[in-house]
Amino acid sequence: MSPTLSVRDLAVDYELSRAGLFRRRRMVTAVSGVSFDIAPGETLGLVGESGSGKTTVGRAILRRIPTSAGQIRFEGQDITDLAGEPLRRLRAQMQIVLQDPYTSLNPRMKVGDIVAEPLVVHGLAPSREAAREAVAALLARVGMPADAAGRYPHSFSGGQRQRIGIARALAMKPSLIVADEPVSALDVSVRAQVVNLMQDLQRDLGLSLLFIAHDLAVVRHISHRVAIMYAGRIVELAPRDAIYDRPIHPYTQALLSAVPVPSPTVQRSRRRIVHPGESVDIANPPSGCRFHPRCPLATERCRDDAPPLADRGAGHFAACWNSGA
Amino acid sequence: MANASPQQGFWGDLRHDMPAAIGLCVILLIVLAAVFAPLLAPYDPAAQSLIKRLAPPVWMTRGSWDHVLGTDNLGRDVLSRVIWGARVTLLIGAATCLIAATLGTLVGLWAGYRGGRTDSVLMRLVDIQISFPGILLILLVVGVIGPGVGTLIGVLAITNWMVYARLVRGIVSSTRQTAHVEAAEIVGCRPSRVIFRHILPNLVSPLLTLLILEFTNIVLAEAAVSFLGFGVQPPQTSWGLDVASGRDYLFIAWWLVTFPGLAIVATVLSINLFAGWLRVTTDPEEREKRFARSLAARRRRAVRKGANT
Repeated sequence: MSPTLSVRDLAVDYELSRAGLFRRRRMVTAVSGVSFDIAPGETLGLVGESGSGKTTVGRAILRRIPTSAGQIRFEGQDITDLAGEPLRRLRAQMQIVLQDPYTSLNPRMKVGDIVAEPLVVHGLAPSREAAREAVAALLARVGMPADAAGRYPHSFSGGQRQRIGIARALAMKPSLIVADEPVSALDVSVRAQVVNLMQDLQRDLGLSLLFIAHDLAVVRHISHRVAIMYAGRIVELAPRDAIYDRPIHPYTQALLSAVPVPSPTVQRSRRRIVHPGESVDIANPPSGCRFHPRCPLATERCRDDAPPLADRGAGHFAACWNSGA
Repeated sequence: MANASPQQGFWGDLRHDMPAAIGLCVILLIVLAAVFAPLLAPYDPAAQSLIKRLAPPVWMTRGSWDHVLGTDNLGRDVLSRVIWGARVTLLIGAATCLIAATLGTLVGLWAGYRGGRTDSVLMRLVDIQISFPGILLILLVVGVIGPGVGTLIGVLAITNWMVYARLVRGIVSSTRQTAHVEAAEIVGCRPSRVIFRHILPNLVSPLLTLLILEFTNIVLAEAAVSFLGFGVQPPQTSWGLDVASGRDYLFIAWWLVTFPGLAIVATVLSINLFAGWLRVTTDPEEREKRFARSLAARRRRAVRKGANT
């Protein structure tokens, strides 16, 4: 089966300072050489620390920010340079769930109008009556009470608002949803509900999901495969159990060892791997492998050449010269 | 709460806000007075009578019921002039504010939404116009076209739209980054829908505030231009013109300046009171808070009444 989304060698540059009369434009490469596929009905978890470029990848896929290199194919179609009306129509098929449910809903629109908006702007709501029915079905699907449509977003809690955001994303029956840290702004008590809802929807509707997060436990729960990003590159990409049980890349190992285990005996026996040094300043990235200044396995080669994301068997990819599979 | 979203009518909602209701009544009174000026005014506002010049208002020693608010330096009835002056003043004030606000808001929206080069070009245009003395432009245009109410409205609008552009552009460029605007764009809204449906509603309260401040400015600007002889031409009259021309008699006949001045104050104040209410009403969250407050107050009153009996 051909993948829903296929990303090849994606790179995104940001402008640090604009070109002036006497100075050149300064650019910073936020993301480079990122490649992955998402199959229909698959959830790919994208994990990384702040500034690792995971949100940038999500925005680039949705064509919110210009790419500087690489290719993005969506359902076989090259969308890398799509613009104007074709891009607007494509938006029906790929949607986003944003991080902060408190700012992602227009405070001056009723919930019903917010959820109906995709239908209206894509001309799929022939009448008010049809739109109302569609909205009611969507709200029921995400577990919201039926009378929610007539109320404003401010009368709902964070978890409920996120459900409304999910209903809006589902309105066009998209084949891909990019969830940009959808639960990190929520209370721990409602996180599980929203994650389970997304998992159910993904399974029932056969969605492809790019789940961006920094919470490793949540990602493990929801993802089929997981990609780990460090300083704008994917360092490891593998099926969920493989990456959590047998991490290859030193960065992934350190990341996973930082997750506490809910059992004091096991937790005490575990060794926390800490790599000294600061996270990378992506305005001045190190040469070669970006992790080499902090890596215990680093050699001469790591300083000069960036390791490719190589197949280590069974769909397990890692970008490291030295760690064995 | 039983009824979380209050669906009362306009009047029912307004009744609970006394100052706003009074404000709206005063506005309506002034507008009615302006519309029915020929019926209400006791005298022709331009009729001069040198024998009766500078008669004081009725409650002063030399005052008489013939001229309730006294007469001016040419013996014209001040009350009639205030009533007739409302016409030109309100027309110029409202028309200028609306034209200037529309023009400025559109420029600001476009500049803030597009950003980049469009923004730079439009905002430099605004800078140039702001640095150019407004009164000079007014005198130049009026000098070429000739004075008149229409000319005055056009000229005042052209010299006053920049404030709106600046304000709107600032808010838009920050609102543009908010998540709900991004969500609207990803959903597939066309730029016009994003601008008018998702960005413009956030501008209502600052725009209302600015409109009211500017209304006073326009009234005074009109007075200044009229005073210089380039604005409203006698026998037409306006509050601003009366205030300006009554200045010379301030120490011997305070009523020349005071009554048109009070009319300006009353107008601006009542618009302000009403606008405060309007601002809350256009914001769903504020509106529900107000509703909850009034509900709580009513309940408290009921409890107190119950305790008394």
